[in-house]
Amino acid sequence: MSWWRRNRIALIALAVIVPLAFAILPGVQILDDRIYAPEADHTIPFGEPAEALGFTVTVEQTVDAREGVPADMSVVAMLVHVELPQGVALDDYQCTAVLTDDGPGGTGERSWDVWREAGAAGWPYQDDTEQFCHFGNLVDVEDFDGTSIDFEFVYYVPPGTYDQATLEFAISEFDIDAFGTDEASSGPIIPPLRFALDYDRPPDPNG
Amino acid sequence: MRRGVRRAASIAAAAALVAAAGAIVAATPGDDQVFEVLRVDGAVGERLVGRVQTATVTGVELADTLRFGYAGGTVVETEGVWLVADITVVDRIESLSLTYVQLEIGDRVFNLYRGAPYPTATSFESQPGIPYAGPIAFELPREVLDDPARRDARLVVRYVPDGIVETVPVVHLDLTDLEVEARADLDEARTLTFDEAGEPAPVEPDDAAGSGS
Repeated sequence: MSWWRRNRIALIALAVIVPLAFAILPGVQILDDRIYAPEADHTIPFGEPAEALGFTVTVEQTVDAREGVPADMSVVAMLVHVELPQGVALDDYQCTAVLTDDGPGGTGERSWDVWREAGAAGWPYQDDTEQFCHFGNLVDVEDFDGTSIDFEFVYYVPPGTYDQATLEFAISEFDIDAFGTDEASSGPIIPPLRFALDYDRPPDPNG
Repeated sequence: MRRGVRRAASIAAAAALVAAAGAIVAATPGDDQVFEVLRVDGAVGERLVGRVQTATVTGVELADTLRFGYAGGTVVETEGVWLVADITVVDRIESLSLTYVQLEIGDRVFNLYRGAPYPTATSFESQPGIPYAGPIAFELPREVLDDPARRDARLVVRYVPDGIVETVPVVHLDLTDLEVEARADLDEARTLTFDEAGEPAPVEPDDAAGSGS
């Protein structure tokens, strides 16, 4: 028996494995590129409604306020109207509302949470608006009729942020009994809705 | 005879392989090196730019007692000595905390004093892109005052305890010339204008109030 004959199984295996290895490397790269490709721009134009988990969300008014803002910065404030689904327990849902932009000079996406000190700093909140994103246990709304909520989100940002900023509004199901555990966020993970602000806005009413 | 040569050669080859393996293991960086922060070194008064935070230490003092300049002016004593550093920070991407800032003196690492009431610099509600400033404090044992390593103490402005590859500002402090004061004041943190902070102001679109695209 020749050497080739004796090692034929190993040789066949080599003949399969070596080309396969070379095929996998670029294949993985192609898959990677697909998985991590930047998402198509799904920014919802200003004033148009968008739907997630039965909630219909509309950004109704946005302002870039400069007057009376600490340290000559800027306040981005907005009214967001949410039509609620009927026949569900609102306590089972949670939401986040984050203002984002691409950062100056490509430093990476920046994100701002709702400014907790806005009221203390003198922001004139409207009546019957909620200041933080949540659906259960509404405290700032009188005569809540269960059909809709108006949020008034206020962000404290550097000047010039408004014109590149978008609102990322995310809704997810939430199990209050499992709070603090891995099971707390139940239900499907859906990407946040990304809303454009009113870039063609009239001049700042305060300034 | 021939067999003996062969055996000796095998033993030598095996020993060489083991030695080579040992050398590779010794040369391979461990987790501590792989996940060490990348330091942006500078001195007091320099604006140091990390990927996620910029930091400027504007002053350092040592003191026997610490007094809060707010919240009723409580005074905190220590068996050791307080180090108070005035720091100006900009979070560049998202809101971060100064809770994990550390002070290195020689091989020893000290964590920040976290007892100050809100809104101290360690609990400040920072906003990305907006500078803020405030004092931070470290409670140090008295013997650091005699430690030769105090000539090059290092304030490491990190925002998580460890296990990250990230550029972080590292401010080198010379503690040898500092007198220990009777009292240092720990004031509230506050927002600064770009001018006050020595930070470049963002470039605004020409028509900030007009139409954008």
